[in-house]
Amino acid sequence: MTEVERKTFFHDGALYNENRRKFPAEELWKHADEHVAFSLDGTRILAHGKNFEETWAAMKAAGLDPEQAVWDHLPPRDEDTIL
Amino acid sequence: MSLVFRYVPVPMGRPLLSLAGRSQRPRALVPISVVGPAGRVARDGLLDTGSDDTVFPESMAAVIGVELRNAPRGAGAGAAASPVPLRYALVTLRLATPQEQREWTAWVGFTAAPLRYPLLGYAGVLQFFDALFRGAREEVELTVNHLYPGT
Repeated sequence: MTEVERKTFFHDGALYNENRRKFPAEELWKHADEHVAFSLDGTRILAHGKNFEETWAAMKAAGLDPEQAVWDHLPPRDEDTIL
Repeated sequence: MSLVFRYVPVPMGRPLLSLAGRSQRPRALVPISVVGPAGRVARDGLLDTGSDDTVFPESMAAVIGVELRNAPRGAGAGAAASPVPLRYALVTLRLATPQEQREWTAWVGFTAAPLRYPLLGYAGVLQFFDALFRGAREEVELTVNHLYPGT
């Protein structure tokens, strides 16, 4: 992403959340307690890893732009709530 | 005009007693972009009226070029945690939907302590928006208020 693009880039957060709502739970479970890079529209997982740095590196190694993703840390299977 | 985001249902490993057996936690997560001198990261952040400050993981600071070595320091307390060291920096934040795009600068904290989600608290985010949390609809509506400093 160029400097100009970076300064002007907005992505549709409402669409992202709508698609995250539809994301199959069984797919998310495969990445429990992992850091995950979702596509900007929330429909795909582009990369995943043990931590943010590893996942960022995986994106770059795959030739993907880490700025073209939304990052999340999925909960472990034994987590019931956050305080 | 306002920004409306549906909550994100986060699957849990077992039925939740506190939600009548539901197996997902609806959370007020919004994909917020954090822009620094060297890059941008979009991250699911939790709109948290219980958080005084807006706090991101330090790992994000590194990739967007925010220098924290000589940053102003602070300490935070979580629900049951020991004090969490924070380092503060001025960044640009963005939230957008097709109807509205917002960008503003704010002092936010960065921490090396584990965070389930970045916390979008009063200082930095919620001070600039009137927030309506619709529990039944599982959505939040953010409307800029007169404190909003951005575009």
